[in-house]
Parts: sequence; C-alpha cells; structure tokens
Amino acid sequence: MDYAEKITEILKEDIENFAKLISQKGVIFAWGLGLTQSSGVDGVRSYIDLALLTGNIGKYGGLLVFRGQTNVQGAGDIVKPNVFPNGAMNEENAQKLLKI
Amino acid sequence: MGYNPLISMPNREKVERKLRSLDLLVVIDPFMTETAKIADYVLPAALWVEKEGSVANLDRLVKWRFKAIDPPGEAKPDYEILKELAEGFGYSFNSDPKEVFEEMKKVSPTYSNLSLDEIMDYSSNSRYPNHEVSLYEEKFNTEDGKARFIFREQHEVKNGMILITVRNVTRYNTDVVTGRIPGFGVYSTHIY
Repeated sequence: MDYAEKITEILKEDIENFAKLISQKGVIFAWGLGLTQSSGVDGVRSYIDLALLTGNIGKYGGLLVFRGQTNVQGAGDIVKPNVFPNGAMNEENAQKLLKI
Repeated sequence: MGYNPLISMPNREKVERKLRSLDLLVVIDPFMTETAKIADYVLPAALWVEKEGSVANLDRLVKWRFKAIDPPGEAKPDYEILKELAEGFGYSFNSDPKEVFEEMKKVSPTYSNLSLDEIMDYSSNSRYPNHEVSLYEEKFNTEDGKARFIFREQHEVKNGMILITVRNVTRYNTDVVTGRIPGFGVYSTHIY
C-alpha cells in the first residue's frame, strides 16, 4: 500500500476507502485504448484482477472493453499471438488443428 | 489487409522506411490508402455490404452479415482473394462463408454450440459458449472453479509522457472512410 501511495500519489486511506466502496457495490469495469496503449497486457490484467478481487465478475458488475472495430472480438477468438483457437499452444492441440 | 499502418502506427518515418525496404508489399483493401499507394500490388477488396460472414461482439453475441450488393469492378471478398492466393501457392482454401463458419466451429470450440440458423436470426440469443446472458455466476471455467489471478508488478512511472491515440466523434482511425464524407473536417479540424 505504501508503494501504491507513492507511485499514484493518492492517499492510502483514499485507496482503501475506494476499494471498500467498489467491493460493496456492483461495478462495471470499462476500458478502451487509453489503458491498452499506456499499460498494455499487464495493465489490463491488473484491472481484471481488481474486478475479481472485489467480487465484480459474475452476477454483479462485470468487465466491459470498448472495441474499436466490428469484429475485433471474433478475430481475437480465432487468432491470438500466444494461444491456439482450440486452447493452449501445445503439440496435442496442434495435432487436433492439423486434422481439421 | 484492411490496414493502413503508414498512418496508424507510431513513428511514421520508420514505418515508411521499413515498408519501402520490403521485397514485396501487397495491400488488400477496399480503398486506395496511403499504404496501398506505396505497394507493389493492390488487390481491391469488397466492403461488408458486398460479402457475407459472421461477426462477434464483446457481448459474445455472434450474428451473420448478409450480402446486399455485388462488389464493384474487380473487387472481391477477402475470403475469395485468399482462396485464389492460396491456390497459387498450391493450397486448397474454402471460400464458401457458410462452410468456413462450420470449419471455424471445429477450430474454435467456443463456437461449437452455435448453429448457422440461429446466428442468422436477429431475434435469437446466439451467444457463445452456451447461450448464457452472463457468465461465471457460480464458478469460473477452471478445474476447481476458482479464479486465477495474474499479478503484475507495477514499475515506477518515469518522468516523461506516454502518447496515445484519440478517436474523435466525427473521424475514425486513419480517415480513409470518414475523409470521404462530404463536409469532412467542418466540425473537427484537429488531427491527433
């Protein structure tokens, strides 16, 4: 928390109060290119971790990423740099894809 | 394909130098973009109303886009261009969008519970994986049903600025499409 206070220049008590607030209400965590272009994958993962930690995925709250083009979601479902469309990038999944 | 990196990527001079140094630059695009202008070959592509296929949005909703008109001139849908290119290299690609969708269901199991009929019906709840309106109500899709955290160390922010792109209401990406609209630039003249 001391480190968080130092790098964000937001008072520790304010961070704690805000964390309590968002864990007691359903909160939608939205983001767009501002987060992805400044903090990349690490920033997005940290943001999602915060939603998970505060109980905001599932029945209450949720994640909402604003996508810039019509089929960004669909393209991402099929093509990713580090994952096969059928799961982890390993020999077994590669063989399954080869058969298709 | 449908990408104008000469304008959309940071460090334009470096991008242009790299693109010009390529042995072969082929651009597939519906429009004569800045990148297309420096290409060795430009293959004209069809627009969304001139072809068909499925699209998925962030709500996991998958819908079919129906073709309304034929593409003009020599323009072709991307899937036909890719099929012909693949054949030139000795490969066999399928360019029937409905058959491609069936193939996609096998390749990406997330899609396997959707049918062509339901994604073509605009009143249906064609969400993957199993038509859920919301996911993870009781547990997560992991072995023990619990969430997996991926913690990242936050490095100290150094002095200086990080520049990011901005979208204006009246302009979109590299202006390839919005720049063709009559009255373009009247309400928003600044480029970011």
